[in-house]
Amino acid sequence: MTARDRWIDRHLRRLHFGQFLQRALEWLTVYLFCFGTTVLVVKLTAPNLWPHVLWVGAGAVPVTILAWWTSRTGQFTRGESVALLDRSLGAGGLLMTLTEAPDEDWETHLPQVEQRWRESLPRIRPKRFAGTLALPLSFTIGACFVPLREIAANPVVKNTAGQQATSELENMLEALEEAQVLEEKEEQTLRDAIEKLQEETADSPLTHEKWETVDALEQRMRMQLEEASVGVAQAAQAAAILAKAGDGEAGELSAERMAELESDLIETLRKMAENGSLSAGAGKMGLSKSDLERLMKSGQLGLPKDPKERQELLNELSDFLQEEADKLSELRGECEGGQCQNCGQECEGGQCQACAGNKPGRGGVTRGRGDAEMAWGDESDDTGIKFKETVLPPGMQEDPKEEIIGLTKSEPEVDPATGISRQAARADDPAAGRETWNRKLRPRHRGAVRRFFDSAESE
Amino acid sequence: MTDTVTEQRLLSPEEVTRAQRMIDKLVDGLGRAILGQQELLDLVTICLLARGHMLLEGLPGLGKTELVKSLSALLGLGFRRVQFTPDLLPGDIVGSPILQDADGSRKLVFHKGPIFANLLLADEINRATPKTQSALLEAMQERRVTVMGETHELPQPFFVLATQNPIELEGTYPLPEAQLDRFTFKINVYGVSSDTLQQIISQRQHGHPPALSEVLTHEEMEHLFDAVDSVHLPEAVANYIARLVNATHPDSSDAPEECRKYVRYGASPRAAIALAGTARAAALLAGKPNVGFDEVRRVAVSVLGHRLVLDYSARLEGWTQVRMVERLVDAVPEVGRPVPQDVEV
Repeated sequence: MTARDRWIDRHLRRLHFGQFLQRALEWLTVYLFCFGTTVLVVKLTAPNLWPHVLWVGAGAVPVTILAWWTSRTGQFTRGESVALLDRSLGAGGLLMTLTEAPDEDWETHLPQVEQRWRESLPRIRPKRFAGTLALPLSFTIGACFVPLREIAANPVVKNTAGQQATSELENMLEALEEAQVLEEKEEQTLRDAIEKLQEETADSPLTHEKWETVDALEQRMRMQLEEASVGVAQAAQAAAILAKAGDGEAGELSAERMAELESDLIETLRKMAENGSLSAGAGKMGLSKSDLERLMKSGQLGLPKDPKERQELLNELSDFLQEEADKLSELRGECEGGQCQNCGQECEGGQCQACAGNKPGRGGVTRGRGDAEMAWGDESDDTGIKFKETVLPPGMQEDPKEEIIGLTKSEPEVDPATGISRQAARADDPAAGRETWNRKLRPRHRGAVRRFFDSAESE
Repeated sequence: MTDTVTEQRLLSPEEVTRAQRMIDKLVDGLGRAILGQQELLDLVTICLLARGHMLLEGLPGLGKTELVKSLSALLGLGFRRVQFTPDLLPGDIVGSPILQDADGSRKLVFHKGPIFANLLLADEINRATPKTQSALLEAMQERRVTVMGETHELPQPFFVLATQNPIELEGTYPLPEAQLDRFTFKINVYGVSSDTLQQIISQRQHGHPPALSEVLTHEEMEHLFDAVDSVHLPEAVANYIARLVNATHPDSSDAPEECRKYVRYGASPRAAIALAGTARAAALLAGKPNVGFDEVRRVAVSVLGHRLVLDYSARLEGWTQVRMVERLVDAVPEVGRPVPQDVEV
């Protein structure tokens, strides 16, 4: 290999390196922009992937290798390299000619000074490479420093107030069903109305009309409950009076009064039979199925003529009705000793206002009174919230006395000269009685405390 | 003349020096006749060495005819001059058969026209009709004429040197593209500087040029032609010529924007052959055994300029054929592959 060939090879290698640099620059620029964008997207939308996303940065190595591989496809040929070197040398085509047709006579016409050949070699300009790469690199590094976006940990619960209101209505309806207070038709009507309300409040917030519907339904069920409760209580009282009259304890009752009491009792029993609440206790009282059917159809039930049987039935009726009245009373929220048996709150006027539905803000224009309960609406996520709650470490420094400063086999030797002064020791001693204002706050907490007292002063 | 690709031997430095010395004698002789037009004389010499025909365009009185006459005198070649006029007929140039008595019988005898010369000066060629102009087509390309079915070879070497006037276009017939394409060079002749003009009026009282004697014999010319053929054309330069000619076509991917916009038809393969041939001659003129990129650029305007057909909008925008070729030379890189931007060559 002649010296000329060596220079040509060096020229060709530099050209190939330049081509690789150019291709690498193109690929790395695209790669860095993609990488930076990925980091940015991860930081803003999927922060849990941070910092694992940085592993994508390792892709720079295969990208560089790929750039080298692709730069080989369009590489300069030796002839093209010779042409460029010829021009740089100012050989006027002689170098090209001698490469194709070697001739010793003309060889001497080529530049003989090595310095001339060296100066003719292409020069790599890393400044441009670095300058061009600076922008995507800055973008990528900048993306890495973008703060992570806080994502709402809990899913957003939509229309909580509506769900809560309809849920309460449903519970109340179930309680009334269990107590067999409602007629079947009335029960179905209320259930349909509650379901409709549930559908309407599933996606849309509670409007004032819907609040009034909620209150109306609640009031309607309470009235049913109250009516049933009063009826059963009166019937229980009538049965008790009739039973006492049979024993002669209640004195003589007029025939009209007895007929009136019997009528009240029969009417209550009829209603209970219609609701089904009577069927459970009918067996105990010796009422047959035909008696119940007769009650439901015509409201006719003859008490036995035999005084003994009559007395026995009235006693059982009285007990059963009292038991039912107690149940309904408990459901209504009756008061005993000034306290509601149902919710435990204090009663006003012998009745629990809360259980009776007379709580502040019970609906319509009254809802929202100052002393009414807060009806929380839909919760919002914490997107865009400027101030985020952060859990700080304990504000007080640990008691220095609890720090283990060393372990010795024998009693530690304390040098009074280098030890903590008594005043300092007392300052940190809880037994000294001054720890409440001598305890030292951690530096992170001082700002918060200062802001608290500053705001208090400004107010 | 046949084109065969053979293993070329590089001209030796002595051969190049000898050829250059002969060329210098010719150029010096021309320089004595035509003052202050060195570039013109070089181009004429290059075209001559490449055995090409040339079209000289310039205003009257610039020495076009004198140049051709001087060339004839210096080369010792047979010279004929034809003044082209509108009533000139093809027969007036190529010759015509004439009925003659010979040995008691009459027969048509072909009388050669003025084209049967080594150097034909077609003065003001654009004043003849296209029919007459086309009489030169076969002669210029194949160096022979055919009259009444008989083909007559022209003397070797054969050159057509035509002149035309860029003004007084009334009553003229612009040369058709096929005719123009047969001219290897079209050289624009411009005026001379005031110093040269002063030299002319001082030395030429009546405008007569100095008497010139033959400086090159026929054999020497043949030797020069062989030397030109032996000038090496490197592959990279041949590739450059190919790309340069290809770039003249508006639908070519190599064509610059201006070419796509203003050029209607580009140069033919004949132009590429002429470019390579004249570049070889230019290299020999420069004393080189090979063609370089510089030689191609030097002759590009003269070879390609008249072969481009520009769009009408080019005239409106001030684009001439010469300017377009200069733009092409600037736009087409010497090496087909772009140099990486991170490398300074």
